[in-house]
Amino acid sequence: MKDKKLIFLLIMLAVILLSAIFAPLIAPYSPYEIDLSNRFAPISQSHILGTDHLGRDVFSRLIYGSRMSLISVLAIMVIILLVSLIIGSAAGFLGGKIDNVLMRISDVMLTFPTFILALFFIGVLGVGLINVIIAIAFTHLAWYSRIVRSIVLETKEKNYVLASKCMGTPTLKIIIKHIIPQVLSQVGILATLDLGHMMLHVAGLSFLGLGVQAPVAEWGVMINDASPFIRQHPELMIYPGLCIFITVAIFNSLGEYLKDKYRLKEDCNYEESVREPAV
Amino acid sequence: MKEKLVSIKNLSAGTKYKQILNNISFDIYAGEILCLLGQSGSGKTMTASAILNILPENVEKTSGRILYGEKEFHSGIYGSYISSIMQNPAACFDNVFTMEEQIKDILKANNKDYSQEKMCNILEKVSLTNQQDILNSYPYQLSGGMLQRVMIAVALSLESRVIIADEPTSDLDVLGQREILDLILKLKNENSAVLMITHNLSVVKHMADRIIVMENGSIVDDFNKDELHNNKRHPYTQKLIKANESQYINKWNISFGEYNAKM
Repeated sequence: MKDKKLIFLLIMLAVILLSAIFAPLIAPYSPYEIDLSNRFAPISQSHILGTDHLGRDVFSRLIYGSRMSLISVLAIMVIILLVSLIIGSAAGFLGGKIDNVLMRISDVMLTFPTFILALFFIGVLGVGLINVIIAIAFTHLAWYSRIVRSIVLETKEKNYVLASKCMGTPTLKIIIKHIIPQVLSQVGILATLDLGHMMLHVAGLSFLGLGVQAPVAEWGVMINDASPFIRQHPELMIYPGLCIFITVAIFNSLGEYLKDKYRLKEDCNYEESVREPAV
Repeated sequence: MKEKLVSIKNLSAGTKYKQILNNISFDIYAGEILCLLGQSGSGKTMTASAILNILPENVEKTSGRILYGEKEFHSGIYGSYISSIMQNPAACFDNVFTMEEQIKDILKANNKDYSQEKMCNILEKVSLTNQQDILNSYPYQLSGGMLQRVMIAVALSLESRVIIADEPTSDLDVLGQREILDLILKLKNENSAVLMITHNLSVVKHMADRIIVMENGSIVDDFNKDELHNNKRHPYTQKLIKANESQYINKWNISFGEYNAKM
């Protein structure tokens, strides 16, 4: 039953990813093609979801918008994972003063709400997608670094790590073989859960006019563009809103599924370790 | 004169709030099995951890020195000079990798031959049959006794000069205990020493050349095996002996009797 859920989620995710990758093949029009004579066109065969206030095809803009949203979210996650892996591992492994300094900095960062802190960074760096990516990544670093550090601290005290250390396995080999896989498997699940959250961040900042700038097709920008016409044409806000809702829901469900599965696997490992030997 | 392999001088260690080891000093000589005896919480495992330089995060060495031969600790001594057989063998292997991968890593790190044939030979030395099956298995698919034998096999193959065995039989049944103890006896030779940590006096009688008794983080007695029943023993040692004789020694002898009958 659960596997059916996973297959469904993966299919939905694949549809979104494929539509983002093959956007030029799927979208019937260019997302930037303005046709002022055809403003607010209703749903028709030529415009599946109608047109916006500049006569641009809404369906084409939604397809291209998925590109921008996914790329920005994945870029944020890659930056967060790479940097937090370095900071968290250094703090967890080296300990002492390095750990104290890094963790106190992260404590300070954690006292600010992430969205407010992101607004502050954008205020300093300026508007634009790259700056939004940097700002959101930076505001989440402290949280992820702390998680990586705690996993490293926990794993490095495990008997199998101590045993391989005492048997002469070099530290670097232990980190690569035993510690990083542990960190990635656990942080990876959290990251999947957080992808939806990041997407909302990007869309939110774009909606406020701080992120992706018009006329680039992005779901947050599309909601912002349609906001003056909310009474006359609410569907122009509903379409990108639904896209964000569905994508965030898929990421969250996938994250929850992986979290449950991981816990289940841990329990199975325990069960198997106390069961009769197979050999 | 026996060669001094490890020398612990005035070692103290503890957490912020509690002293765990108090001014411990002793030497480990080549060719001996030295047993650290004491109740749970007496500081035996912490002493072993200090020698192996794997003290827990919250415990710090506050004073004293540990010399390995003539040298201070350096990471290069692991494997070739000092190695360890830990309690709870199931936790000493990473369940994500097969036994082959893990044994290979250790042999490779110590510049030993890690061919398939060599690994099978190593396992054969500790009387493990179906070596290829074992190499292909994951740790959770093997019993505690099998895993402990694998650890001993690896320690044997590394030819470490000092092997620290921390309660190596604690998770095993009595027959498994006997087999593992016999294998540990094999580890001893004139060039190497075994530091055995246990709270079981019967094991000590079976294994030890020299016995150190610990109480509340301090050494209270240090003597040769044949001096065990000497009246001059520390009151705590005498208390341990009495407790052991009343509760366990008969059970142990019966178990060994059963073992010998089965053999």
